[in-house]
Amino acid sequence: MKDALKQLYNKLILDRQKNPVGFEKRENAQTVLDAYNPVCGDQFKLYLDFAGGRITNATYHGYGCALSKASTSLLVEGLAGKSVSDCEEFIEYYFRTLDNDDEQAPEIYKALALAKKFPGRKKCTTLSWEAVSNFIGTTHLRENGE
Amino acid sequence: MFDVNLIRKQFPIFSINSTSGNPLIYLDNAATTQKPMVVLERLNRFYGQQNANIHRGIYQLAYEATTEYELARKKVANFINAKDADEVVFCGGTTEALNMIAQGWAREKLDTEDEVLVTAMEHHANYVPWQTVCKQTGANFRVVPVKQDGSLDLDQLKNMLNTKTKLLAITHISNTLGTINPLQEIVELAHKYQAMVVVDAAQSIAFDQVDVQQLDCDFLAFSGHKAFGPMGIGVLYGKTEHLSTLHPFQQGGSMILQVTERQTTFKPPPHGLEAGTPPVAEAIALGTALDFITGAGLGQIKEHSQSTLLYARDQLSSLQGIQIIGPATGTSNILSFLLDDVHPHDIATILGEAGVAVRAGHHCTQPLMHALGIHSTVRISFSIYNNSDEVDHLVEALGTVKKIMS
Repeated sequence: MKDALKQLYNKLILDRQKNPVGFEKRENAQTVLDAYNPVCGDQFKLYLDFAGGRITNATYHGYGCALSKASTSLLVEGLAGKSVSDCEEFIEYYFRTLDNDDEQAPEIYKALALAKKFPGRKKCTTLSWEAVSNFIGTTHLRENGE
Repeated sequence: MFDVNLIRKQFPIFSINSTSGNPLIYLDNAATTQKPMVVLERLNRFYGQQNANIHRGIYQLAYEATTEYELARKKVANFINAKDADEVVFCGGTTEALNMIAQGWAREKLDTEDEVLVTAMEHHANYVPWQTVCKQTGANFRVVPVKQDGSLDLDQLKNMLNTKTKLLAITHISNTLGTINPLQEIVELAHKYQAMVVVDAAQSIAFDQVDVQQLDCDFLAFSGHKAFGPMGIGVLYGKTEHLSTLHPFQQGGSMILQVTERQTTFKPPPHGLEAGTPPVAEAIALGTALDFITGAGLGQIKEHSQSTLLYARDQLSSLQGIQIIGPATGTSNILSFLLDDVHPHDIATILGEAGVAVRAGHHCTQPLMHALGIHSTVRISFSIYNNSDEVDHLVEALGTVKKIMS
């Protein structure tokens, strides 16, 4: 388990939580989503812009642990430029990696997948991803985005 | 002579190892205390040898179960120095007790002209029920602020109390910061305006003397599981004259005098407020838990928990980057801190791997977090079985946190 701890809090995750890609407050974004975990109080705003059926800009801001901050950064970085259906695929792939320990997955995904071995921490890696997944599932976005 | 090792031997959980393979270092006593063998044995003995429903059966076993249950009520009454055992109502826990008062008393008594005061340091259980009942009745919900040092702003409380104040709900000890409120002074102040005082004694019941007559509070609530007793049993204390005006929040079996098609009449308190089959074994085992506290000595528990906390505060202060939240008034058994800019959940995960159980988060006190301008803390809380070695282990593990997260 000690090794798992080192793998979980590895350089990729810690670097990303210290210098997160896409950590920017944009209150005038087209869509602002809430990613909130009432258990720990972690709370992010996810700022998304759309044009021509694609996410043109995705950033986030707020408070969270190393895992939620790093995973949300990965999310917004990955969303930018993707079509709605590509976003769905991207998020699905991430969830599958977390559950199935995919050896081929990027190193940072594999590290985040270890969170499930620690009590109460899996949610930290899925919080923002679920918020976007739920949002993308709405008809509203499909009508405007595709 | 107090010997912490002898105390630890009475708690079976300390004889097993944590998931990390290290002995369990349990610093989350504000969430729940561990259970001594006598309490576990008492539960076992009830279910194994005395199990019957109470206040119903006309046979020896039912009679014995009833007698034991009522004896537990007397033990609680003695422990909190209630005038009469009938002032003790058994319920599920602090949360249920507070909701019983909010919905059974306040909802009928409050109107739009009235004010209810709570403090910014309340646990959600002593905050939300009052906020809700104020919305239901149109009464004004007001929050007494907390100073940045974690103490209650008494000057503000004095300013906010007035003849419209019908009720003040206040915790004895803050579950997040360990702040000890000067209850006696506060009750006197509130009573000058004929305001009822509801005390949340969840954190103080197994730490300090709770004497309801001396405090002169109108209602008081606590949970058994924070006092070495089982989960699922709690106590609502109320002065006789107030309990008699408390409408039964739940209604059903056991608590009635007579039911006809036209109307139902209820038993007087406490039995009229205990609908259905109560947690009998748990109530009896709570009595045993209170005997355990008395046997160990409440003063001894307090002194030992305080000295362990003071040692922890000293040791933590030697770590660079530690910020103790508070420091609250008085010394209780609870301390909250932050370390560098590391999120409390990351700290708790790494400590957990070292076998140290702490609580991280907002501790069900979001208004307090908001008032202090923070999101969450790491909280450690001590009891009679903790020792300085465990504190040393905590500090060492915090060193690991710094190493990993830097």
